[in-house]
Amino acid sequence: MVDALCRSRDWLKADGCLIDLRPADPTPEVMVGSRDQSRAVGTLTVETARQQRHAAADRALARVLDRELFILEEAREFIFHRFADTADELRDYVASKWKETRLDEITHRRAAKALSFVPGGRLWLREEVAIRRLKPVRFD
Amino acid sequence: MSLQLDPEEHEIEALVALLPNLHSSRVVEVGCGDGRLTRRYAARAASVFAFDPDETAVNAFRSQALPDNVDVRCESVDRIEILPGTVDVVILSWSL
Repeated sequence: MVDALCRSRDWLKADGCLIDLRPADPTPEVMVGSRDQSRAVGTLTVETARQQRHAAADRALARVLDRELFILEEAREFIFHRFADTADELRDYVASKWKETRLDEITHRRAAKALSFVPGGRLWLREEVAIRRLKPVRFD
Repeated sequence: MSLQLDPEEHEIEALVALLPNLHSSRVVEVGCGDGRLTRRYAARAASVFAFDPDETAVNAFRSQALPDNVDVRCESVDRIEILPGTVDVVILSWSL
């Protein structure tokens, strides 16, 4: 991961910038509700390997900042939603698109049941995402 | 209805807020996947070179017409060849 950051730094012009866009937390919440009210019915199940990769990315970023290869210019967070019509649809989406992450059976059942009690309700993943702009530092 | 991703467009809003000069930028996107994000910002950039090592995702990206200013490759970050000092913006897109 440090290598990816260093390669990116090489490609950049002196006044260029790097955007690091990724989840702030590796465990999205599963939400059920309507336009007015919503509640979390659980989280996705994230395997240890994915959590470790997430932590490694944080360490890689900290390392290049510590080595003064980049300067952190701006950082913010936003919420990324993925809406599904049914718990099955959400489970299948996660299974097909995400590695080492799943909607487990208990949360799936809980989500389907909660959705059945909300007429016109919706089901979604709520993920906190971090976005950072970094400026490369040149030594020459 | 199929699954909806970020219908509020929080992601592109945050990206554009951090890149006020995107319109004149040569962008390299690392980990473009199926191009979901690329397609959202490409029209605002001068040019985009996007790549991802996942062949299935890149084929999905190419299965729909590409914007004229977008070049997509199936490649990993450690093998891709880009001239040093030629890029305005590198986006690590959900990939670090």
